[in-house]
Amino acid sequence: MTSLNISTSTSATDALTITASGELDVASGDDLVAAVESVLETATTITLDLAGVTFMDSTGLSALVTIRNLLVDRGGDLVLQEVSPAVYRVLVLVGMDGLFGVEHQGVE
Amino acid sequence: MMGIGHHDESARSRGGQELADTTVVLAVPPRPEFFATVRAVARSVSALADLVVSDVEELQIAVGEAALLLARIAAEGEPLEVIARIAPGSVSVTLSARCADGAAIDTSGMAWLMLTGLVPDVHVTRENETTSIAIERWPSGGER
Repeated sequence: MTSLNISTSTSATDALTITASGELDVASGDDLVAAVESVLETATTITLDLAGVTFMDSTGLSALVTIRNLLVDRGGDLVLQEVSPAVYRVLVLVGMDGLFGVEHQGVE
Repeated sequence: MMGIGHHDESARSRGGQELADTTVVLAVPPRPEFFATVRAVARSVSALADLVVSDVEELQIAVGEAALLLARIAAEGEPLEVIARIAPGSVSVTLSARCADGAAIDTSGMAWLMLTGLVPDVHVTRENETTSIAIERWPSGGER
């Protein structure tokens, strides 16, 4: 059982967004990576909507880095959209807030 | 094995002062599925101790990282034990597990970086075959 809900959507401009909500941790990080891997054939740049992520630990952060590397290796990129305070806190703590393109961040 | 105990020496009602010297004890398998339970206990105890929201959230993350570090070296079949104490003006959480011979906490990875970044007062001890990570958190001020 995972504590993370993941859904995928495609906009009219074919931009692919993966929305995650819940806890992004050691029990669920691999699920998020798998969700991205399943769409790598159709998209090289992916937007991750993390507004609903209420908790993230170091393994969740590692999952984000893994996803970013997968996309960058294919000439694409990872954009973090609507980052929740719980996610932003961890990104800042480890100095990785500049690594990802963050479109919006939640307000504490 | 999973169990939870509550040793209450002086609690009479909610609130950090009234609950001072209260101890909560938890034992879970050192598996990722149970880390949310460990974090929930840390969150609940620190909230009962009247820590501010930002402190509660940071302690929760730190305890999760400590659980992760110990789980990686825990001997098979041994529980992860968590003792959370509300002391006057602070909360301490000690996580312990019997560990495999020669296994040591990884202090080079992201989990350790986050743990020590969130809580400067972290102590790792090894006694016989049991490794413990002790975390203490004082209120830092902010939103309640």
